[in-house]
Amino acid sequence: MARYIIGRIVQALTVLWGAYTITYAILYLLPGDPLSIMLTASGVEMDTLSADQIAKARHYYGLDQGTMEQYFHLLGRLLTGDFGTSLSSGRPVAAMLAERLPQTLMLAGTAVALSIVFGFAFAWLGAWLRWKPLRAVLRRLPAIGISIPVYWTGLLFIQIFAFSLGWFPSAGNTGWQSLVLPAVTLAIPSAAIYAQILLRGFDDVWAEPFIATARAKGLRRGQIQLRHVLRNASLPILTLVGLQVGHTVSGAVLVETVFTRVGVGRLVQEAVLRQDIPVVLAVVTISAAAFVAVNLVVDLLYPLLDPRIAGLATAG
Amino acid sequence: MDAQPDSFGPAIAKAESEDIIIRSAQWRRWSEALRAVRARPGFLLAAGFIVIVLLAAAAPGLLTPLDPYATAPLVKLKPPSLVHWFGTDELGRDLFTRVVYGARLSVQAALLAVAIGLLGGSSLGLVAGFLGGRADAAIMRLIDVLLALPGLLLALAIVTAIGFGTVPVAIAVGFGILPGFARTMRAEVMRVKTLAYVEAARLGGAGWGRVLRHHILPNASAAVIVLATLDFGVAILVASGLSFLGYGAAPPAAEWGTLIANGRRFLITAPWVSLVPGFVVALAVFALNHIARTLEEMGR
Amino acid sequence: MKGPSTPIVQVDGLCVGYRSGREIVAAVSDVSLTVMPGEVVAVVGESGSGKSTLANALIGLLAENGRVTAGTIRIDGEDFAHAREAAWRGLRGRIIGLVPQDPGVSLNPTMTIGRQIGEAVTRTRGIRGPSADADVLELLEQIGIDRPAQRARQYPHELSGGMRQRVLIAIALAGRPKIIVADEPTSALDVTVQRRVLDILEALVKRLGIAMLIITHDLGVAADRADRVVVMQGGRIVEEGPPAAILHAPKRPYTQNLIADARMLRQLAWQERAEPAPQPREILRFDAVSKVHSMPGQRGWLGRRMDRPLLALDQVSFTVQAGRTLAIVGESGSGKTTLLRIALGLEKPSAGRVVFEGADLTVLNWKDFRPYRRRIQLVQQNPYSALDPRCTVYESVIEPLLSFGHTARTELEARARRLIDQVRLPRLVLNRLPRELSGGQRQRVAIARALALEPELLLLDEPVSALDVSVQAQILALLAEMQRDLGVSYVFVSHDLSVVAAIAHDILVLRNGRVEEHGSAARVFGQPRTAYTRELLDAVPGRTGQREEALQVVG
Repeated sequence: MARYIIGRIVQALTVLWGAYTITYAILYLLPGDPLSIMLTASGVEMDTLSADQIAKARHYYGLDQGTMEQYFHLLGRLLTGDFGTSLSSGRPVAAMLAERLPQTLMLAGTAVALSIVFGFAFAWLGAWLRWKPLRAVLRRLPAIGISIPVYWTGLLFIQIFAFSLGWFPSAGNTGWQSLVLPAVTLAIPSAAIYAQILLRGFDDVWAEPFIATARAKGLRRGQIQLRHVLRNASLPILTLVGLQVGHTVSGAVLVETVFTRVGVGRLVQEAVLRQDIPVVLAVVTISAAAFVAVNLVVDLLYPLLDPRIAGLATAG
Repeated sequence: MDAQPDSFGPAIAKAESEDIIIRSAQWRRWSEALRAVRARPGFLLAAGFIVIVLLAAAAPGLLTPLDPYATAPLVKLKPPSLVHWFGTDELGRDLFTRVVYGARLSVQAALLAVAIGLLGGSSLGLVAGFLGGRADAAIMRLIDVLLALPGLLLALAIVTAIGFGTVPVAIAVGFGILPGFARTMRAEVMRVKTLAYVEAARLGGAGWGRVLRHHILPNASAAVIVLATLDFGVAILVASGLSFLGYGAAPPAAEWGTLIANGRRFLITAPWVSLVPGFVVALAVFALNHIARTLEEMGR
Repeated sequence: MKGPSTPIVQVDGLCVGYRSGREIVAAVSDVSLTVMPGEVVAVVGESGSGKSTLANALIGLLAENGRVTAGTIRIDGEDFAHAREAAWRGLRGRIIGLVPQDPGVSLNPTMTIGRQIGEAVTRTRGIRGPSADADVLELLEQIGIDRPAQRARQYPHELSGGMRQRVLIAIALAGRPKIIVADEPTSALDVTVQRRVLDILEALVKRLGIAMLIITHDLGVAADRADRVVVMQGGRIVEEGPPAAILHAPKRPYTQNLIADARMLRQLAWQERAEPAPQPREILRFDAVSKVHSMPGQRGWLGRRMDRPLLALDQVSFTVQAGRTLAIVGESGSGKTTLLRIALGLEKPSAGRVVFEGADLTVLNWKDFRPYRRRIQLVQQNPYSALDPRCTVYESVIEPLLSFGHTARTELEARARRLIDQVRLPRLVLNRLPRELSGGQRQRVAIARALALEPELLLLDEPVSALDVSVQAQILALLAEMQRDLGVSYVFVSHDLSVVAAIAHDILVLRNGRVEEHGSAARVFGQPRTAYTRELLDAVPGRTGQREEALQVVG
């Protein structure tokens, strides 16, 4: 079992390293001239500099080293917690992240919790109800939730609940009221996907032969749904939650922009506009780390929930 | 009945009077597909809408006679009416025309993205599923790494590096959806490879080339086509998200996302400027979802 | 055992249909049936006969679109034909217990078997906690499971098929029902395991005085275990009576056909097969073939696997005579599949040789084997996955010809027509897709495809196990006829001795990779030498009557 855990951890770290490397390659190797981008981001026009100043700038940004050297240099600094310096503001990126990360985590965490609760409740209802017309309607709804752009929902909610009804603020980070609309907006796409998968999962499990055995025992629908259907239908959701982390992070960027909230999402949105490479690299790396960490937890939890996998895990 | 089987020889045609014409499977499949489609009004509606969207992308002039760039300050911020179906924006431009012309950029980006994802991902998935072993392990690691980079953020990195515009957005989105295709193709290839008829073909003397062309790819492609349809919608969503954030084509050209972002400033006074283009996006993605689900049902 | 005279189950004029669109398709028509306390009744029928629908109706577990359209179902005196779900729930477990068909999928994979049995105990006896646990252990002992306390904590996938079926029996018995409905209780099991499970079921039922309704397609099982046999066809009861009367003096033509088909499987055309071949010529020989498989074991630190070796075949030797059939009999795990794969060149043996018409096949790589593909062909087990669902029958049948370079369209079409004629299918089948064909028809198409290249040796891997008894008989008759006409040699693998009896000249019995017995069919059936072969023969349901017959004819 220990072998399985260690194996997964090593795998996770490898993936994280790979993600960092690809992002680094995109940001530092793809552009024609990283130097001019960096200078522009810092507010300096390259044409105004003499050759001597350009050489100094190159050295300052570490761009005069070979590619491999620079890569390992940056990687080394990253491992010590140094994410570099923001080009546009001159502040250390780590500090900027530390200020904003808690806000985003709160938003994302609330959204994930809401989406799981909504998703399960929706699917439970959809499987429980027997009245055909209502069932049919419930089945269609998740597809709508998946199709609507998350920033549009945000604007719609602002229009209805903030401007027209005045129940919640339309922007800012103050107080729990400001969290409601953004969290619900962010939760909807994930909730819709969970609902859709679970509805199908519930249907599939209800059709399984072992449910007939359970019914032959004389159990009630509710007991069967709770004890037999739920556990078996939820197994794929665990994996899905891991995958949805990425979508939640992406959604956070859009939601924070729409609701003008302080957070990592808006930080990266502005950084892209200004081509502030170190900030973009840092944020993408952090997101990848979050994805990898959550999926690692999912991988480790899976044997606890599915005894068939547990058998494989202890054997290998 | 023959007592001995005829040997292969040049002369064949014994006149067989009451005999049947042998038809290919293609003919059968198309006629059945058409029959299945005719019975589904929802599918026809959705497909019809997508055809209109594609038409808007290919020949916007057919759908609207107005000029998307023509400003008319006198009629700015008018709500939807019979003259201006979607209303007008802050410069008096007809919003319906702007949406129709915006379709071109959004659809272009989405199609390019799906092409990248489909071709790149399917090839990787095919190699991984077919060869197995080390090649499979290596490719799956690569896919895991790509998956760890959330779609939008990967797109942000690419856009930072190579600049804004429709094509960078498309490339970014393409790489974001590539892992899905790789995994689906791999799973399907692995499934079909172990089925009895593949073994039967091999034992009948078919080489792997023939088996791939005639058995594995056709049977594996159903799931991939469904995914491509679904991801066409996803690509529209992500691409519009990127242009909403400001990384799309430069004004006055407008993708759907840019239109929605523009309208934010007038949310209180003229909400339709943002909300109507958003509704069009949602409708397009929903239609694609429905088409994909119908295709999946028909395939089962 | 005679109890009070109220029947446990009394069905009168029952009609059950399934709603499809706007119509109702009748599955059961005008069925009347009575089961007295302590009686064992068997309902026999092929697929589509309505027997499963009847069983489901008796416990109120009809599908969503199923309806009782007429008649009554009296359980212990009360009519439940139109009862609400709540009323049915009161019955289930307490009065009627169900033993479902496939133990592989009838247990919740994420719940321990102890809890699953405990659920039934709690529900019907109303007890929880330690006393319920004690009852669970008692039930486990009753069904003959070793180490009950340990097993109770295990999950279904950790148990063998036979043990899982016993757990299902325990669940059915937990509520101390008055009648058990056993739906095809053994079709998914090996024949020796089948026998043990049925023995246990029979013993428990007799000891506890419970009535039993066995649903089966196997006349032999019905004859062996039931007090009364009911034959169903097309939703109706066609015949009813004690097993001896049904088997020896069937009144209706359908029953007669059913028995004839089953009998035919056991009817040994001794005269024909007892004759030695006119010029015995060896076409295939296995020389001390062994095969070691490495099972995936633990993964080492760097991902290297420490594999456990498994001996799939151990020094297997036999010969196949030209124009005759060698039947290879074995249960699961006997190595028979590996044997076929080696003969086809899909795997290489770890030791030994395979000689075909004088040529050593084991030294050939895939490319060099190609000329032999024309001469050795395979008919696979599962007709439902043997044909590419996207190809018409014509395209499937001519594919081997295309692979070997015959491309002239007129030639191909003529050949396809001839092949379809040979397997006795109408020509219009050539344009059909596999999903429009029945299992038997698909298997004939697979045979036609295998014959396309005019092979000398045909390997058949359980070609009829997935088919109904009457269809089995037709396919076997077809194969026998083709052997006479074309002179093809067969290697016929099966776990079912009665199938083998219809077609084999020589028999090879495999067990755990070793040859248990090898000889002519007459000798193996008449004078089996090893205990295992005798066990196999005894386990065949309904054989008790046939053995004497067979011995008589052999003389």
